[in-house]
Amino acid sequence: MAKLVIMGGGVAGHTTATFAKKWLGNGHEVVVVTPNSQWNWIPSNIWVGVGQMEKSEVTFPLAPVYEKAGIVYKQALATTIHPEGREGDDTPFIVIKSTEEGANGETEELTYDYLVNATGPKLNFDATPGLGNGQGQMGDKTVSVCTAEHAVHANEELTKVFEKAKAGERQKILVGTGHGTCTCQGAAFEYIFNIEHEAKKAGVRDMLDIKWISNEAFLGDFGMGGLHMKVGGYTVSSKIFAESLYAERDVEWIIGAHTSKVEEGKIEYELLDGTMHEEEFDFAMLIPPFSGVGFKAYAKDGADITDKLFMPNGFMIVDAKYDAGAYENWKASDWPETYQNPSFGNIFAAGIAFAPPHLISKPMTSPNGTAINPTPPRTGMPAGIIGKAVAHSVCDMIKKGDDVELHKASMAEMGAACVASAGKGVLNGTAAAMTVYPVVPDFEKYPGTGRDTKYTFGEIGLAGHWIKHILHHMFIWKAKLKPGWTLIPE
Amino acid sequence: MIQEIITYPAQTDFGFGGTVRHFDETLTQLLTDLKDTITANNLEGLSAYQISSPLTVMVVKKDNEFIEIINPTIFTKEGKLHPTESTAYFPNLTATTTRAQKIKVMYEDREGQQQFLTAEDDLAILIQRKMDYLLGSTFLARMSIEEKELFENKLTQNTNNITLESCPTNLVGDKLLKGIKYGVIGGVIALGTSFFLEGSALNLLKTLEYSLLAILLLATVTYFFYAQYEGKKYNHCTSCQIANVAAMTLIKTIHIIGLFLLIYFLL
Repeated sequence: MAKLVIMGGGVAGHTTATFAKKWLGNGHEVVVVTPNSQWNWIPSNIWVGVGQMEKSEVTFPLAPVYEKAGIVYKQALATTIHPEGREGDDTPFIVIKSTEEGANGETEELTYDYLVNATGPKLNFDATPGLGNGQGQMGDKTVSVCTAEHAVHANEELTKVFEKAKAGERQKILVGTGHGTCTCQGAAFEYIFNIEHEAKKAGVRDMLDIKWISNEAFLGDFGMGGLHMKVGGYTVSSKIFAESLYAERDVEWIIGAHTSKVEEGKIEYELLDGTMHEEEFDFAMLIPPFSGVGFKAYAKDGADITDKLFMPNGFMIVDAKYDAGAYENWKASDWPETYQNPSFGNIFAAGIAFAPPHLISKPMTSPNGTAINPTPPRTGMPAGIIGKAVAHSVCDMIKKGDDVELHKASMAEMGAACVASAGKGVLNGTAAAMTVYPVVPDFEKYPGTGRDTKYTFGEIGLAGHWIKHILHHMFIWKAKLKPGWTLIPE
Repeated sequence: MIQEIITYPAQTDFGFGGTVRHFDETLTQLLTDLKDTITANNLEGLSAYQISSPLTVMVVKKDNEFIEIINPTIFTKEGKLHPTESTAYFPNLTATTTRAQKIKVMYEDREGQQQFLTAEDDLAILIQRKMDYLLGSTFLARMSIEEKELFENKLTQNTNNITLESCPTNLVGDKLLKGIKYGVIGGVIALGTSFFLEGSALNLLKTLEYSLLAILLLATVTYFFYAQYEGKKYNHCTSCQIANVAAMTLIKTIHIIGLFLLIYFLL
C-alpha cells in the first residue's frame, strides 16, 4: 500500500487529493494535511467583501467530505520535510503541527511515499511596513479579501464607510496591490468594481472617490503582460478594454506603483520613475505579495537542504529552467511541465506552491532599483489542471512504477478562462469574461505577442455575471464531491 | 525605406502590441523606416502598427528631432484635454477626443536602456494617439459616445463636414424605433401569460394585444414619414438616409406581422 501525502487543501491540493483517491481506490492511502478546517472558494470572497454573500456560502467543512471520499484528513500545519528519512530509516516524512482546537499544537511525524506540496502562498503582509502587523498577519490599517475571514472584515469596514458617505462625509477608497511584486490583480480588480456597483445601489457613489493602485505597468496587465481579446469582432488590447471600463465607472488609477509604506489613512508609494508619492484613504483593500510558506527541509544527518527543495522566495523547485537569464532569453519551454522536484522524484508541487522560472510580464525596475512588476498569476483554473496532472502522475507511479512517463500541464501550453466580476446582481450584474491561450506567451510559436489571438476572447456584460455565479455553484458542487463532480472541468 | 501607411478600413493581418525583446538590426531597420515614412509624408509621428509591424515601437517628433520610443508605458496621466485630432490612418478626417494633458512615459531606447519622458499638450496627445495604435486601437476609443457616432458618420460618408448639430444623436426617428422594439418584446412576453389566464381575463389580454398592434402600426407609419423629414433636415446622418428608413420600416413591419400571427393563433 502506497501513501500519498498532500500538503494543502485549496484548489490544487483538493483536486490532487480527490482525483488521486478516486483513481487509487482503497488499496492506497491518501492523506491531506491542511491547517484550515474549511474549504474556501476564494474567487467568491470578493462578494463576501461587499456583503453580497455570507462566509458560509463560500466555505464548507472539509472533514465530512474527506470522510466520505475515504481520504485521511489531518487538520495541521506542515512545518518540516525530511525527504531522506532519518538515520537508520529511509522512510521520508514530514512534521506536522495540529491546528485543531484543544490539540495544543501537538506535533506528529507523518511518513509518505509520495508528497505533493499544494500549500498555496503565504500572504506576506509584512513585506510592506504597515501592511502587516509585524507578526505575519494583516495589519489594522487596511483590509484584504484573500481569505473568507478577511472578506468578512472588509465588508464590516466598507459598511462603515458607506454609512459615513450616507451621512454626507466624502470618503476615499483605495484598492489594489500593497507591494511592487504582488500578483492577483484580478481579485482587486473585481473588488473595486463590486464596491463601485454596491455604492451605486446604496446611493452613495457620488460621495466616494474610488481609486486603483497597482504595480502593473499598464491597466489590464493582470500579471500576464496583458492580453489581446476579440471584442465584437475586433481584437483589442486588455489595456484599452480596462481603460474604457475604468473611465466608464469613473475610477481613477495609479499604475507602476510600489506601495512602500502604509500608515493610518495614508500610503506612501514609489513610481516607475523612482519618484515618491502619498495617497490618502478612508478605506483601503491592498493585496499583499505572496511568498512560499517557509518550509525547512532536512537531510538524514540533520543538515539543512531547504535549497534543494525551495527557491529563496519559499516556492518549490520543480522541473523548470530557472537559469533562463534576461528577458530576451525567456522561452515558453522554461516553464515546468510535470512539477516534479529534480532532487526528489517522489515530491511534486501544484498550484501556487511551485516556483515559476521567471515573470510573465516584462520586468520593470525603477531607477532606485525597486522591482515594480506583477509576479505570475496562478489562478484557479491552472491550479486545478496542474493538481489533476500531478494526481495522474503519482497514481501512474504507484501503479506502474517510478519510471513511468509523467503527465504534463505546462502553463505555456495551457489556456485559461477568467470571469472577473464587476458587480453582482441578477439583472444588473456585470462581469468580464476572458480567455487566453497560452497563459505564458510562446514567442517562438506566436511571434509578436506570444499568444494565439484566435483563442482569445473578451466580453463584459450581464451574461458574464451569470456565468460567474453559475461557476460559483458548480465549483462548490465539485469540491463537495457531489454526484457528477468529475464531469465538471477544472 | 519609406513604407506604405495603412489607412482605414485596412488592418494589419497579424498581431500587435508585441514587446520588443531583441534590440538588433531588425529594430534598427524598423526605426529607420518609421523616420523615412514620417519625413516623406510630413507627419509628426508614426507607430510601427501603421506601417504593418506588430512591435511596440513609435517614433515622434519633438522640436524637429526624432524620439525613438520602444516598449512604452504611460504610467502617469494628469489633467484633461479635448483636442481635435487627425491621423494618417483616417485621412482628411478629424475628431474630438479626451486626452491627458500631461503624461509620464517609461520606454527603452534602441540600446534597450530604460528612459523616461514627461510630455505635455501636443506631444502628450501625439504619444497617446500613437500608443492607441500600438495596442491595436485607434482614437475612436478616446471619444465620447456622441463623438464616436459622429465620427462613424464621417467615415461612412467620407467627409469631415459633419458636426454634432448637423447630425444629432437623439433623433426622434431612432426613439420611435426603440419604442416599437420594446412594444413588440412586451407584446410577446404578455402573450406568455395567456397560458395562465382564462375567461374575461383572457379576453382583456386579447383586447390589449390588438390595441398594442394598432399603436405599433401607427408608430411605424409615423416613423416612416418623420424619419424622412429628419433625413432632409440632417442630410449627413446615416440613420436618416431614405434606404435606411425604408429598410427599418420593413423590418419593424415584419416584427409587427409576426406579433399579429402569434396573437391570432395563440389567443
